[in-house]
Amino acid sequence: MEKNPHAGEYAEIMKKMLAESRATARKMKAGALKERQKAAAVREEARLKLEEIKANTSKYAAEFEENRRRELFGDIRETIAAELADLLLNKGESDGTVAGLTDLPEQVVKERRKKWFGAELWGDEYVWLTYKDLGRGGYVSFNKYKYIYDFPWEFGGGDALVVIEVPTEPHWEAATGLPLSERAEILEYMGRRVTDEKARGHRYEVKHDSIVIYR
Amino acid sequence: MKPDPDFEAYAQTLRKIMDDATAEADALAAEAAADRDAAAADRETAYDILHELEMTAGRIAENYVEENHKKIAADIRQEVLALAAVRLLNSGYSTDYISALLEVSPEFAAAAGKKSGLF
Repeated sequence: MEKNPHAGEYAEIMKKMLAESRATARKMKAGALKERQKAAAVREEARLKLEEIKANTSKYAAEFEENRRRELFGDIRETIAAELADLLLNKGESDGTVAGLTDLPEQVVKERRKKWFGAELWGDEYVWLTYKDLGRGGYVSFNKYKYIYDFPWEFGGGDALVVIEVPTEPHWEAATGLPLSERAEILEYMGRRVTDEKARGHRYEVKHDSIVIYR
Repeated sequence: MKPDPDFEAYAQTLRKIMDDATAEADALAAEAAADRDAAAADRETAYDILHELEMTAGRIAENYVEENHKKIAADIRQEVLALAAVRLLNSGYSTDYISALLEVSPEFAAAAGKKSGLF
């Protein structure tokens, strides 16, 4: 048999490949072992947690009950705080004061003001209306921060459903204490809000001494 | 002079190394999968136990609050009003002003202040 002239060279290559294969095999096993160990740790952790839960069901039940109770108390507290907020808003307190006294976020207070009082922001101050019904008539109260002015109203005759009495221009400032320059804006606002809140779909007209809401 | 390399023996050795390694890695992977399955089963059992406990505890708390709602709400209302009264007292408002603003008695406002250690 004839000798391979490159036999030595091949033998070296084989040795090197064998060494590389062993290293690859070692790596493969080490990787698998690492995953195996990780899985064992995960299993042990899960087993221990389950055992812990089984051993402490009373503690968990008490915790859950306390949390739920706290949650329900929180809901009640929030409702009561919201009622107090409405009371304070109705008395002309600012959003910041109401939030500070009730622990409600200021944004929630602002939303309640808009939702319940139809308040509009005029410059830095909110304006809104409240109503006092006294049978055949009553008052529409214009609120601006802590300022309140009561405009008397009564049911009208003919085409008029309701007539809200307003001071004429010459008497406006003396009667209301509000600048004459705001009169037109206030009366327009009142006409718009009253029809929106109390007589939706009806037409109103601002006259020199009244706001008339038509049938 | 070096002998001819034995290609056949080399190939067999190489195959054996890789086959053994693959078999060992497969066995480890199977064990790992079994452990992960067991862990998942334990976690599911744990979740079921906790969920059941939470549901039962939640019902107990809800029944308690429902049965005692009036008293709980009254107590919380007192707390909320007392806290507001104390804050107003802190800001320098009189008990009469606070009484009118919060619609509580002046005695309530004064008592809230005393209880808080303010006055």
